Amino acid sequence: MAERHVVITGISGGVGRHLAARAMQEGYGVTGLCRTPPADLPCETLACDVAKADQVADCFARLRHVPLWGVINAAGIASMNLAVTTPPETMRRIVEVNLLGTMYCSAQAGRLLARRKGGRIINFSSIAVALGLEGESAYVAAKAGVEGFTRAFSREMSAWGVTVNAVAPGPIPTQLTAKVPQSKLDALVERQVIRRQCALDDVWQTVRWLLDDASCMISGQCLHVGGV
Amino acid sequence: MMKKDVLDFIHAAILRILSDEAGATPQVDEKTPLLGKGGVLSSLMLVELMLALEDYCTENNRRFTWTHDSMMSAKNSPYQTIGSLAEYICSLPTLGQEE
Repeated sequence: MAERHVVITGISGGVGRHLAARAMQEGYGVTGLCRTPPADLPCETLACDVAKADQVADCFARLRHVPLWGVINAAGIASMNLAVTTPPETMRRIVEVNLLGTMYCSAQAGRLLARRKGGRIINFSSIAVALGLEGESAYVAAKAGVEGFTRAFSREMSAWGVTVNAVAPGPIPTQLTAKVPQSKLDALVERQVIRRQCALDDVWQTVRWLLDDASCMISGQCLHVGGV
Repeated sequence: MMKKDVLDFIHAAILRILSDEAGATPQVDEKTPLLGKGGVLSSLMLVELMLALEDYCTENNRRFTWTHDSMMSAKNSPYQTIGSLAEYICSLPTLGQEE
C-alpha cells in the first residue's frame, strides 16, 4: 500500500482521470469517485454521486483504514447558458455537484485527516469566477461558493495540520469545454496573464505542489493556473 | 454497551484531549456540560471527542452519526453533559438490528 493515499472525485472526467494517472506515477495510492466508474481506469474506483451526502459518507467510511493524505475535488459540471434561460433544475444540479459535492467530500475527508493530524484538501474553482464570465452565471455562483468554502474551511482545519486550497484553471481541453467554440476559448485565453490554453499537466503540476510537504504554509488560497 | 464503559471512554478521551493544552486539567464528571456555560471543551476539542467516539462506536458495531441537526438543536441534545452523551451512545442500536 502506498504511504500516502488520495481520493479524486470526478475520476471519469478529463481532469480527474489525468490527475489520477499522474498521482499514481508519483507513488500516491488513488481511489477515484464518480457516478458510474468506467472500466478502463487504472485506479480503484467507487461509485458515488458527490451531490448525495449519504453516498459520500459511505465511500469515505470505506476509506477509514487507508493512509489518507488528501482529497482532490475535481468533480464538476457546467451549463453554458444565460441565467434567464437556464432551467431551475439545471441551476440546482450545478450547485449540488460543484459546491455541495465539494463540501460533502471535504467534510468527510476532513474527519479522516483530522485523525491523522495532517493532509491536503484541494478544491477546483475556475477562471470564470475571477472574470465573472457571462453565460456561466450558475457555474460561477457555484465555483465562487467553492472559493469561499475553501477560505473558511482552511481555518477550521488548520489546527489539525490540514491545508485547504483551490485551483482555478483557465479553459482546459476536456469534455466540459468541448462544445465551446474555439473563438470563445481563444478570447478567454487572451484574458489570462499567460496567453496559452492550460494543458492538463499544467493543472497537475499545481496540484502536485499542493499535495507536497513543500506547500505546508499555503492554505485558504485560490491558485489561478494561467493567471488572471 | 454498558454506560460505565462508555463513561470511562469519554472521560479518558477528554483527559487526553485536554492534556494537549497548556494549563490545569479541570475536574470532569457525568454532570459536566460539554457545550456552553461550564463546558470544558472548545469546539475543536469537541470534534476530537466526536471522532474518538465515532471510532469507539464503529469498533462496537454501532453507527454514531454526530452531525444530525437534531443533535445540536434539540433541547434534549445528547451533547448537554457527559452523562447524556454516554446515555445516547448506549441507546444506539447494534448495526443490523436497527428498526
